[in-house]
Amino acid sequence: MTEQPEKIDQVEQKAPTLTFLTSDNVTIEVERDVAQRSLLVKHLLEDVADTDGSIPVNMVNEAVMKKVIEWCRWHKNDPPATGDDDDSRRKTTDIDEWDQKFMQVDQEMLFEIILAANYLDIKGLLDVGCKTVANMIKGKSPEEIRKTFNIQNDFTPEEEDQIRRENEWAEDR
Amino acid sequence: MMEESQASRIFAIPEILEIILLDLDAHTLLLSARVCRQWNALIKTSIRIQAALFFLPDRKATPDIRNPFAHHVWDGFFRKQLSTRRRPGDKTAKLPQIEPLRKEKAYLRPDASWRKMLLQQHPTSFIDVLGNGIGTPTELRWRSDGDYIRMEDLEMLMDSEALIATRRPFLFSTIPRFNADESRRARQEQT
Repeated sequence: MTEQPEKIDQVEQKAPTLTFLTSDNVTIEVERDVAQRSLLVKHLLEDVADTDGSIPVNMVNEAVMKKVIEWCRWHKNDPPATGDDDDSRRKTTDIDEWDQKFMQVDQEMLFEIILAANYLDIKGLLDVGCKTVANMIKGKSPEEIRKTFNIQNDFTPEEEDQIRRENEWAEDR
Repeated sequence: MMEESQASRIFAIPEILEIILLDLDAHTLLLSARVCRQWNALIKTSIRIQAALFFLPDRKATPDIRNPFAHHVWDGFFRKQLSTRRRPGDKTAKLPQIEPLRKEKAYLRPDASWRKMLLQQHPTSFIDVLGNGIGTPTELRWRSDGDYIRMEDLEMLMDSEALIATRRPFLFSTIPRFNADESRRARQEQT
């Protein structure tokens, strides 16, 4: 658990840090205030006063973790997420410029980031990721959506037909 | 077999799929029930998604949001003359024919989803009615049973209560008595 204790002591002078141990066994050192964008980490640090060991993030590999940390570092001074902001989130579907650029990754990385944000409980990042996916869906037909994300059509023809008929009035507006 | 995609991993988490679907426009959201069973099940059962589609009341909505589908139905169906069914006011209002017939049939299906939709969020129990197509609209409480007005109520009003959908969405008129002035006005309204 304490592979590099001396290194931690060195940087402790500048900014307190902690280390993550990723699923592919890589240690990543991060400033504490950046890492605390993750509510999972924040609550962990509140429960355990002194963590000089590394925090294992079993579900996240190094490449994804580095992206997540990059996001957290840029957004470290954002106001903390409030509990009940579902309505405000629904009204703003635009993504700010930096986040848009940040999300210009391949589909697999995008989904890995969303999974990591969900696991680490980073609400802002989860929202931006979900909005990015929503923007890929907007205006597409069910067939195009399936094709975009490689989703299997698992309806029986009768079931699919029933749903199609219910909403046929809203097609080709 | 095809390897499980990352997409199916995140869509399999209902909380995440719900956030994504709630970020969609209402139109794409409604039609995306046909993507697969998982999406259909969530769209049918999520209270927040059902409210976003105007099927369930959302009393927290501020300010009021008009149902965009209701405009769609108003212009595409209520303000059109039908070929398979006659509404009392259609002739007076000189409405254009709905085309093609396939479209008319899609609207007329008893299970067409627009019927169960609310007019707006917050939901309302009132409709505006003009007497004989002129003057100031009167606000009428249509539902007294505690439920809110759904689109199917408006259709019933037009089919049986002899109201006409005016050009302004959600403003009804009683059928004006037929005289030269009225018919001229009706013609002008059409152009």
